[in-house]
Amino acid sequence: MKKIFKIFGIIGYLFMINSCLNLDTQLYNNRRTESYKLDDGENEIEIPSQYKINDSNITMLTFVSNDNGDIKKIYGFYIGDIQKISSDTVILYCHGNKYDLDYYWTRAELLANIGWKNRFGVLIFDYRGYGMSEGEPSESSLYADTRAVIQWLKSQGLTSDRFVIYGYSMGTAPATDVAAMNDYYPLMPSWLILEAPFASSDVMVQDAAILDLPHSLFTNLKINNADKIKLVKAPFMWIHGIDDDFLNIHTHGEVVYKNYGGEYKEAHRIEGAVHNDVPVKWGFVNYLEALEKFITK
Amino acid sequence: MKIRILLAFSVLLFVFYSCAPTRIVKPLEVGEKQVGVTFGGPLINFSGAVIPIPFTSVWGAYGLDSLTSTWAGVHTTSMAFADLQTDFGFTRKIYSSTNKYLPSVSISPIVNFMHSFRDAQSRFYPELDLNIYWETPKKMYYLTFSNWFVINSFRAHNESQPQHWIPTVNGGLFLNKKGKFNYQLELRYLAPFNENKSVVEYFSLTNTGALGIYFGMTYKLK
Repeated sequence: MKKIFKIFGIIGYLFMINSCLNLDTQLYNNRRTESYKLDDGENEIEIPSQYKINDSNITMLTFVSNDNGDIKKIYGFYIGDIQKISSDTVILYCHGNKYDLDYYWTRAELLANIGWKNRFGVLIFDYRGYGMSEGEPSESSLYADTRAVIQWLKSQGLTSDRFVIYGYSMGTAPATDVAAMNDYYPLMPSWLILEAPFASSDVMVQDAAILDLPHSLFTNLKINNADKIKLVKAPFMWIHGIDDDFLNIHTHGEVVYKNYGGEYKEAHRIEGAVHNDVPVKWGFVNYLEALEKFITK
Repeated sequence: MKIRILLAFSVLLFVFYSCAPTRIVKPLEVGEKQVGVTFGGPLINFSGAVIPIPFTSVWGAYGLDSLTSTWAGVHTTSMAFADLQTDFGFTRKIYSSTNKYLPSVSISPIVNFMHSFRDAQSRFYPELDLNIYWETPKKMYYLTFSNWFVINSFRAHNESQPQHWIPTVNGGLFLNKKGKFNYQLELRYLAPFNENKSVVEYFSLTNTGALGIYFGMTYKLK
C-alpha cells in the first residue's frame, strides 16, 4: 500500500506544479506579415473581377489601441472616400480568426459593392497580433482594438445612425459586444450583422466534448454572444450556413438568433453552405441584395 | 478561426469522455493490487496527420473478492489545466466461461468526476460498461460496450440537453510479456451516432463519431 500512497503523492505534486496551463494563448490563428497583399494574397473566397475595388478607393490606416494600458498600433483599410465618412453609411467589418485581413479582403470588397460600388464605406482592420498590427491577441484586446477603430471613425464624423457593424465567426464577438455594450464604445451601431456566430465558449466546449462541460475546464475565455445579444437593440441580421461543420448552426447560430433582445431580426439559413463559403453558396448577388435590403430598410 | 482552435482544443485535451482505455475487464485475484498508466485518446486530423489526443492517466486497482475488483484513476493531463478528473468504480464478473471459445462476461459501474478549479464547477457522469473477454495463456482479448449517461437536462444557455446516452464500442487486448507487467492496446469507436460538427476535427471512417487508440501498462504489486 505504501507504493500506492507514494504514487498518489507524486500525482498530487504534479498537480501542484502544473495547475496553471490553459488554452487561451493557443486559440488565435493569427499570422504576422510585413506588408499587405490584399487581392494578391491568399483570400478565403474568390470573387468575380466586377467586385474588385480600385486602388484609388483604398486607404491604409493605423490606429492606436489601448487595452488596459497596453498601447499598440494596429492597421486597417478603408474602402471608399474618407472625406465622406461624415455623411456616408459605414460598415465596420470584424474579421474571423484566420491569418490576417488579407485573408478576408475579398469579403470586404464584396461589402463595398452593396447597392452599387462604394455606395457604403467599408473598414476592415487587423486585431493586434494579426497582419501588421503590433502586440499579441487576447479576448480583451479584441474589444479594445475594435473600440480604437470606432473611435477613429467617430473622429472622422461618423455617427451612430450611419454605423453598421458586421462580424464574421470570431469577429462576431467584438461585433456583438459593440452592439450590446453602450458605455464602452464611442458609437452604437444602428445595424448588427452576424455571419456564422458562435454562441459561447461553453457551447464550443460542449459541442466538441458531447458532454455538458463548463468552458472553465479548458480556458478563461468568457466570450458569450448568446447572452450579450439579449442586450442588443439594433436591428439584427443573422446569416449561417446550414451545413456549417465548425460552428453548428443549431447549437451556435440558432441560440444567438433566439436570444436577440431587440425588435427586428431576420435570419438567413443558407443551404449547402459550410462555415466559410456562405457568400459563395448563397450567390453574390443574393448576398449583396439581402444586405442592401437590411441596411436600407 | 477553424484551424488554430481545432488544434488548440484537440491537441491539449478534449472529449473528456473516453480519456482512458478500459481499466479492468477481468477482476483481479483476491487481495491483488495493480497500478497502471495509460496514454491515448480520440484520433484527430492534425496538420494533415492523424494522431491520438495525448491523454494520460494513472490508476490503481484492488481485488476485493474472487469476482469483484475496485479501481480508481486520475487523469494527469487534466491536472495540467487546473482540473481534477477522476474515474472510479468496480468490475464484477457475471459469467465465467469454461469453454475456450466462449467469452467470460463482466460489468463495470463507474463514476466519472470532473472539477474545474478555475471557477469551482463540477460534473459527474455515471457509466456502465459491459465487458466480454476471451483468455489465452499470454493474452486476453476483450470487447467493451461502454455507456456514458448525461444527467443534466440542460446544457449551456438553458438549451435542452440533446443526448443523455453516449455509447462507445471498445476492442482491445492485454498482453502479459514479463511476469508483473501487462500491456494494453485498445481501439475505440466513440459516439458512433454523433455527427462531427464541432471545432474539433475528429478522425472517423464515417461522418459520425471518432476512432480512438489507447495504450496502457500495468504493474502487479502483489
